[in-house]
Formats: sequence, structure tokens, C-alpha cells
Amino acid sequence: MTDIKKVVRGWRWLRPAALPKSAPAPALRTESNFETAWARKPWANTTRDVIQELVLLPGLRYVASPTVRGSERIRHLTQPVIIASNHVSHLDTGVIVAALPKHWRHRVAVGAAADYFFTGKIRGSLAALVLGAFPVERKRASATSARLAVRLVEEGWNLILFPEGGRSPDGWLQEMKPGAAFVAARTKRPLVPMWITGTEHLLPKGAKGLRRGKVDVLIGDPIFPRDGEDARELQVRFEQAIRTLATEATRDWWTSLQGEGGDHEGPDAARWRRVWERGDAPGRPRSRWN
Amino acid sequence: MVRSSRPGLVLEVDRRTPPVLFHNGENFRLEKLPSGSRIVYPPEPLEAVKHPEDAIARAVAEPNNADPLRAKLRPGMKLTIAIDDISLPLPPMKLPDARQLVLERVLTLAAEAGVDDVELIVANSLHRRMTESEIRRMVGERVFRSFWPDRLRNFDAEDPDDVVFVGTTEHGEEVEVCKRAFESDLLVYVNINLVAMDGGHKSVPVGLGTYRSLRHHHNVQTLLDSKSYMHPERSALHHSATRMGRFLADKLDIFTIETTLNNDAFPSPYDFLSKREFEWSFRDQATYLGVTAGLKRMPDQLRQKLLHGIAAPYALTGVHAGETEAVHAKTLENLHRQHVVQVQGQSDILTCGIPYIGPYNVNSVMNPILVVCMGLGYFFNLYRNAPLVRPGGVMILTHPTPRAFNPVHHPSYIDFFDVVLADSTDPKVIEQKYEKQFAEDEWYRHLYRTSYAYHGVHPFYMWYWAAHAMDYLGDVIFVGGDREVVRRLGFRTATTMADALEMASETVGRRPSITHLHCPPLFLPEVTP
Repeated sequence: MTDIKKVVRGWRWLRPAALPKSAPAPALRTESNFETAWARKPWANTTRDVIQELVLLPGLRYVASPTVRGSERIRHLTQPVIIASNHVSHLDTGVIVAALPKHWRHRVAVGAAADYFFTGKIRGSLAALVLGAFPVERKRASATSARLAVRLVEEGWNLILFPEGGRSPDGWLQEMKPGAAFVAARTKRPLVPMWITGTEHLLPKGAKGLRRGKVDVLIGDPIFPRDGEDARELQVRFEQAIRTLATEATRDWWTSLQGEGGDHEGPDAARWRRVWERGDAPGRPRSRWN
Repeated sequence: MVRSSRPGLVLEVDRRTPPVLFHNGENFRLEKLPSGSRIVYPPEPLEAVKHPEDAIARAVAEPNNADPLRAKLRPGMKLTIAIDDISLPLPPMKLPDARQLVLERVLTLAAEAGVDDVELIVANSLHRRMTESEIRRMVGERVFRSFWPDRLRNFDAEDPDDVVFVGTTEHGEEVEVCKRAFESDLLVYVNINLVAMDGGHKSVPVGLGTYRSLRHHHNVQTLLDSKSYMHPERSALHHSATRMGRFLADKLDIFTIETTLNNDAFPSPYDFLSKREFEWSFRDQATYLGVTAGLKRMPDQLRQKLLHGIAAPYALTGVHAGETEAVHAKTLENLHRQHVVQVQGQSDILTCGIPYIGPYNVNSVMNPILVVCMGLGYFFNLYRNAPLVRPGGVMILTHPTPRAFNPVHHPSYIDFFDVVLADSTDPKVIEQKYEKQFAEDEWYRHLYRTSYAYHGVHPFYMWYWAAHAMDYLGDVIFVGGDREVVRRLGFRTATTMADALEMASETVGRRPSITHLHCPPLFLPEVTP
């Protein structure tokens, strides 16, 4: 086998390296060693607006046809806000941006996994330019990431954060980290819960191809930090709110108000059983034997 | 600048592990190792001493178990400074060389003390003489201009006027060393310790020793009893050198200055050689492809010039001065901090790539005997406690082993290969039958003294260096080796790594455990059997 073949087969390009299991995790990258401030300068912001409005959002609408519900719940909000959503697909960021009021989109920064998006210069710079991404360390509590997020809100940027820390492998809700609540509590800005349904069928974690389909975005009631409320208390309220929102999205608003239909974490079982429990993707033809 | 240093790593190969880099003489190759194999990676370079000149000044002013150097210097005294030769470090380091910095400090103190009779001697023992330009590079322009050629020279171990028989140790080992050094009021030995084998009492009696002295420890039985050379407490070679060193230290004032370097062996763009493959960036992969393709197509001379022109960005991690044993204990601590990697258990097969450079072919060609010395002498012995491979196991090495010799540097190697190895590859037989003849051959002696040739006996020592591995291993296979040459060396050759593993199964069974030594950069596995 020639050297070129060995290299092509041996390494992954434009994707984070698949580490051998016994290899130590790479040093986490932070804002201090991956500078993204340039991507929030006016020229980059304008470039991003153009790319998003002309390419990304039309593309997303074509692929995902997002239906947005609950927009009225945020119509009176002033910017900046912290948007926290469940996370099942790479499409989620685009779907959230598409669901935001148009005048909000101009100042959006997205918390993206430092160890995934910012491990290479090309990938990290593209994420920063196209999505307005900034690195968030998700494998440990990081003062650097938290400080940067707080600073961005204080500078007037709407933040999109995924408290689960990564895409759910099976669509069920994962354990949520308190980063979004921390930023909201520190900045006293409203925390807006969102629930996305359907993107896990279009581009689930590990998928190589994109499918067309329909996506629903449900925007929840904003959560305003109370005076003297710390991040832990706010996190409890947020988790309750996101479960309620999940119930509203999957059942109905009335059921959610009654606090029923609350299992969104799925069964404690093998992965295939959890996927099985989620049921078929919408639009897939039912078996003709049934 | 090195910001942080990660310790060494023992990686278990799985399906996600990319191919592994093997040095392959004057080129490199990638090999996919079977799942479950282990790769032992070196620790990353330690942070350097921030101000080397200050550290050296402090070391000689506050020495270990000795008076400060300044107090030892006085007008009218005879001062000799011995320096390690070109075999260290590998690759040669970026300038300034650590030896230059030490020499400049020592000479500054000597000048301040009014010492006139100063001589600098390269402690090359039976190695080839260093050329003028090599010495200039090593000691720096200031020192070179001040002392060359009368007061800065190579040691000539065959010059009857410059060697002196000192006596015999309690074990009957004859000690014969450089006369000028022995007759000096103070001998300062300036050392570079790249690996744990170097330094200590191995410096003066070996570096300034003659064949008459060296044969007492550079012989097959002593090297068979050295397990390993990198573990001085368990090395008969070091025990013998220590006895000689102590014998000399009783009669001669020796002030030892030892320096340790980190293992930052390859500068950019060759730094991919030091990296762990699963962390190779796109640039590293592209550089690998570019470098291997370029080296493959280059004329031999240009390729050698390019490779031997690589200067390692080694940095000083420590400097200690004073009484030899006290200094060496600290030096070993420093070295172990940089080099030791804990490894659990031995394996059936040990794989390793042989690089383009070894201690005896700087600015030269690595001939087949030196290839054996690197693989079975140095890399096999790169362990503490126990070898990485089990007794009766197999060592697989990658090297093209061309029948290439540098006739200026290695004239006796050519006859050793053509005459001695054609008769026998057994170190003991060779030692008894041929060693004396080569060691006392007038032509080789002449070339050693007047040209740039290694001593006539040197190829024997290289072969003995591998004696422990030859005795211990069940089989040795060279991947990509020249069949005729490898057969002459007494080993077997395979076209590919897969073939080599298949051949090894005859010795170690169908499901062998495999360990790959990711070396260089140099390090020291501490193996718990």
C-alpha cells in the first residue's frame, strides 16, 4: 500500500480525530488558545448575516421546514437573552436561529464544544464565522468559558447554549449542566427554554447523510432570575421548565400544565432499546404487515 | 518554548489507531500494527533551564562534594579540560552547544585565576577524530580561535607519548589513560548526558582510555552481564568503569561537570517524528508524505547531507558539577525525570525502527554493523529492570540495511563485514579469533591516528554491544532489509511488517503480544515483568 493510501485511510480529515480508546483526552481548548473575538467584529457579523440569510436559512427551510410555536412568549423580551435548548442534531443551531425574531439574529453567539469544533484552525474558524460560535469546555467546569459567556451577554450578545453539553445519541434528554443558568443568574438576563423535535431524524448523531423532513420548535416562557437567586436554584426552575416544554411538544399544553407525561430521559436500558422506545421517524411508511 | 510536558504513554492499538511511524534508515515508513499491540511513546520534552549560563555558573560555584572550581584554580597549575566527542548528543544540538557554554565558564574562571597552562582534549577514545569544523561547531568560535590547534585537540589513544599506564584495579583491570590529563593538577570533564548510560565514571577511564584499558569492559562476557547498559546498577560494564574511575580519582583531581538535555530531538518541520500519530495534524500528515517522497527521490549524498544537517532543538534541563559520583547521582535523577516510562509486562515481539543516525555515524553512513548495534545494542537495551520483550522473543526492526560503508570513517568495518562475519557471527568466537588482529593492525592504527577512522577494534565492540540481545532473543527480523546483507549479519529479512509478524509466529506462536518502541526521541521504559 502506498504511503498516500495509508495516510488517507489512517487519519480523518475535517473531522475531529477518532482517538484510540487508551489515548489520553486532548488538552481542552479555550478562548485563550482559540481566539474568536474577530468573528464578532462588524465585518464578520455582516458576513455571517449574508451567509445565514442567503445560504444557511434557505437551505435549512428547504431541508427541515421548521414550524415555530410559542413566538408570542418572547415578543416583549429585550435583548440580550440566553437561549437554552435540547440538543439532538447539528441542525439544532440553525433551527434555533431560524426560529428567532429577525432583529435578534444579528447578535447571536453560539456556545460550541471546544473539544469538537475548535480542535483545528479551519474547522474552528469556520464555526466562528458562519455560526458565531465560541468555545465552551464541556468536559469540566471552566472559569474561562463561563467568564467569556458572561462577557458576551454583558456586551449585548444573545447566547445559544445547549445545557446537555452535546448531542443526544438517541434523542432522549440527557443530564443538563448548569452553564446556561449560571450565565443567566450572573447577568440577570432571561433564560429562554426551547424544545426541538425532529432534527434527530434528519441528521442524527453519527449520521453521514442528511434527510429531508419536518421539524418543530417550541419556545417556552422565559425564566427571569429573581433577586438573590443563585445559579443552582435557577437551574432547578430551568430543568422543570424544559421538561414541561418537552411534554407540551410531545403531548399538549394542558397535559404539561398538569405535570404529566414527564419521562423525557427514556428507559435505563441498552442503547438499542432506548432508540426503539423513541419510535419511528415521522413520515416513515408503516409496515404493511400491521 | 516548551510549555508543559506530558509523561510517556503506553497506548493500546485499536481500530481507531492510525498507522505508526517507523524510522527506516534514511527514510520513514508507516505500519499498521495489529489490534491489541502496545506502543510505548516517550515523555514530552521537559521545560528548559531558563538561563543556562547562570545555571552553569552556579553549578561550578556551588559544586557537589567538592570545592568550588574557582578555589581549585591557581597560577602556574596545569589544567586539562576533557570534552565529550561528536557521538553526543544525537542529532547534534542547535547552537550554542551545551559544551560551549560550560567551556566558556570554566575558561573564564581559569583566566581570572591566571592559569596559563590549559589544554582542551576531545575525549574520543577509540572513536574517530573530530574534524576541525566539527570541533569549531562544538566548542564555539571564541574557544576554537583561542586554543586550536595546539591546545585544543583530539585524544590519540595510540600515541605512545600521550598515554600513561596508571596501574591495575583490585579486579586486575589495567588503567591506561591520556598522559596529559593524568599529569594535570586538575582535570575538568565536560559531559553531555543524553541517556543514563553516559557520564559518571564512564567518562574519564573510557573517554580518555586506550584499547589496553577498554578491553576489560568492552568484551563479550562483560556486556552479556550488563542488564542493561541504561541501568548502571545492573551493568557489569559500569561496575568495571566505576572501579577504574575510582582508581583514577584517588590519584587525580577530577572535577566533573555533567549536563542533561531534554528530548526535544527534532525541529520543525521534522517535529512530526516526535509526535504521537493519533495526534498528527493535517500538516504533520502532509509533511510526512512530502518528506518521505522527497527523501526517496534524492541522491544518496544529498539525502545524507539533509538528514545530518538536522540540528536538534535540545535544551538544557540541568547542570551539576563537582565530585563524579555525587554529580552523576543528580544527573541520573534528571535523566529519569525526562526519560522513564512505566511499562507493565514484557511482550513476545518488540518492534522498532532504526533511524538514520547513531553515535558512530554522525556525518556519515550507518553501515550494517552499526545498524545491528543500534537495534540490538541500544534499542534492545533501552530498559530498566527487564527488557520489553520476553526471553526467547522476537525483535522486528525496520531498516533497508544497504551494503554501504564510509571508507574514511569505518575502514575496519568493511573487513569485519567481509571477512569476520563471513566466518562467524558468534561474538565469543569473533572475540577470540579476530579481535587482537584488528586491534593491533598497523594500517587501521595509522588511519585512526592520521585520518578520521574509527579504531580497528571498534566494529568488534559494536558487535559485542549486541551480544546480550543475540543471546536473549529467539529471532531477529529486518523489515525491508537487503537479503544478502541481513543473511551475512546472521538474521532474517521480511518484505513487509505483516510478513515479519507471520515469520515471528514460528517462534512466538500465532497470537503474540507486540510492543512497539516509538524511538527516537530517546526514553527509558522501566519494565515490570
